[in-house]
Amino acid sequence: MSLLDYLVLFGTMIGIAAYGTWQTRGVHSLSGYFKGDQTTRWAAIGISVMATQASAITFMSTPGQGYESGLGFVQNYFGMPLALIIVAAVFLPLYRRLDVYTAYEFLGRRFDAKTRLLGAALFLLQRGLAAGITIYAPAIVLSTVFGWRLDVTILLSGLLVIVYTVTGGSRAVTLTHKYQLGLIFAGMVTAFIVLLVRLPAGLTLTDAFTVAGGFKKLEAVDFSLDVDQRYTFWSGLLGGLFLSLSYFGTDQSQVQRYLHGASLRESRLGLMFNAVCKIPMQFFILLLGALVFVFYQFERPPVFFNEVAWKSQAERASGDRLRALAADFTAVHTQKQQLIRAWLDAQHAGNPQAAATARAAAVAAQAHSEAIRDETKGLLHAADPRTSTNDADYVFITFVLGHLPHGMIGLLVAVIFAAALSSKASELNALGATTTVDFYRHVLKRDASDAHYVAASKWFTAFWGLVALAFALFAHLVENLIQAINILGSVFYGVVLGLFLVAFFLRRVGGTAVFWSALTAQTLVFGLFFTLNISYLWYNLIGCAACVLLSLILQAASGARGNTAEPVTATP
Amino acid sequence: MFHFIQRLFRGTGLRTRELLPHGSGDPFHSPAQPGADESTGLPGLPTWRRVYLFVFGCFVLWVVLLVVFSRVFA
Repeated sequence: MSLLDYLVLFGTMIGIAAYGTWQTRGVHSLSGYFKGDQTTRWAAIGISVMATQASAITFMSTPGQGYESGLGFVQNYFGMPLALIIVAAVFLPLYRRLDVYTAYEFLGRRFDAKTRLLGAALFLLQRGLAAGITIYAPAIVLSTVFGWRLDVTILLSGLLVIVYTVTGGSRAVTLTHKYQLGLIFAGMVTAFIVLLVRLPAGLTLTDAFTVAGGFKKLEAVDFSLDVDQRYTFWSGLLGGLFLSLSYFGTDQSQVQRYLHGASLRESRLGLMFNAVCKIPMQFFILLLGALVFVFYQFERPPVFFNEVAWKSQAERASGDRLRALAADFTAVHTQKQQLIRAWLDAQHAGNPQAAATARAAAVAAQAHSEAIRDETKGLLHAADPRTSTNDADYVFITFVLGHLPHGMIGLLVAVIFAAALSSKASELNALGATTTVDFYRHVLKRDASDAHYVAASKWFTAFWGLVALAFALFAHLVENLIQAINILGSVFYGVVLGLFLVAFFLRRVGGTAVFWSALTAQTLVFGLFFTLNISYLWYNLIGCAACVLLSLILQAASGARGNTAEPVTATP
Repeated sequence: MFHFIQRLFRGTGLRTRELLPHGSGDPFHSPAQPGADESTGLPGLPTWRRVYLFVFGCFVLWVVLLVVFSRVFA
């Protein structure tokens, strides 16, 4: 990176954070600190919800997904519009009518205090641990690629987000989200345009799509019922609906975003904005990855995209085989490039038979390339077991570094940091809100002034920020960390969703029944997790179903009606 | 703190109405009235039911477009 890149990177990051801090200084009420005084318009809510969901991983890994597997990953988002409709129609009106700060406060109103604390504790446990990853994941990739110190990268990005989130609370988060997402869109569109310009002369966009399609990178929708297929229309619709309902309906980091709305209308429209825009947005990012794949058919890509890891092994005396594989990879790539050109020439000349022959040969050459890459990954992993064989996260950043002009490189690195900061800020704000409202104000200090609670909120937000930083700094000690966090999320998410589904849809079930059901369901999930060998995604479904069914059974067995099943009378 | 722990396991929990502003109804038992909460303010989509149908229509449209795109360049 040049001086210009560093100026763009630090200018945008510090500029946005400073602006957010300055504009939202002097928030004195708890409502202002956590709900922005509920004055936000729908566009800002929509952007904030989108920015919260879009982490740095989205912009590093998703183009890599498009490069490796094509557009099929977009199906994972098919359940999201339906989930957002349910949240807007059912969840949101009740949250607003009860004027809650947190989703778990709603559980307290619907059931009782212990159920509220259970929901809040599950959220803090899961999100508190995951918070470190939001900083660690981009930092490890960027520090590897640029040779920066990992701890300095983590500390700089972490401290920046802590400062403006603590100072301005939720208003600062929403305000900075607008500029961060604007920066992200500007960066991605810039990368797309540069990519199109850098395609070989004479290669039209239709040709690029033809090449991508020929290598099966544009197969976006798969209606098969094969459960072994990773992404299908049905798994995306059902699994995506389930996960999105948990995430948008019960996760405080999202609930807090749309509770900001100036009215129910503004909050609903913000959610509907996401329901309409998310699929095309993910399609665009994946298509970017598919086009990077086309670009690298005419420009030799690295044999392994984590080039630092490759070089460290290949430059050793024992790296002969790695260097030989790289030479083979170059030869196959040259041959493949000629075959693709022959395929396109035949297509332009209206000779479908010759085009099909050349295409089949190019696909075979691609399979050969992949075999070389697989052997390379195996050797790297054997030489150093800490080297991940998945280099998809490095695809897009490698393209950016190698082929974007200076200034734009800084812009694209700023995009990754902006995404990291935007999701991190929402997490810290939600952790601070839940700790203050559901534990501190509810359990420890019930009658303090608003100013006292705002001060406490700032301390709690800073505390969670420091916990996340500490976790990120020591994250390298845990193997397969991201997977561990995903597993942790799946182990808890199902039961939390179960609690909320009972709250919304099973009016006869009361607090005691749902509380013990949730605890039993969580114990069941733990038990299954340690005894069964199934995909961790299933624990979402198992936890939720167990919580709902047990609640019904316990309520029926107790013979009593739920504490809000009928018009309630004042408690004596 | 002691009272709080007592209340935690009393089983009846907090009552709804006492937590609401005076004069408001029971929020958990208000009849579902899509569109009754607030106007959408959107031209051509006067009720929330229509907004949700529009969003669902957009979802179907995206899927159809993705299928067509995949087929054209398969």
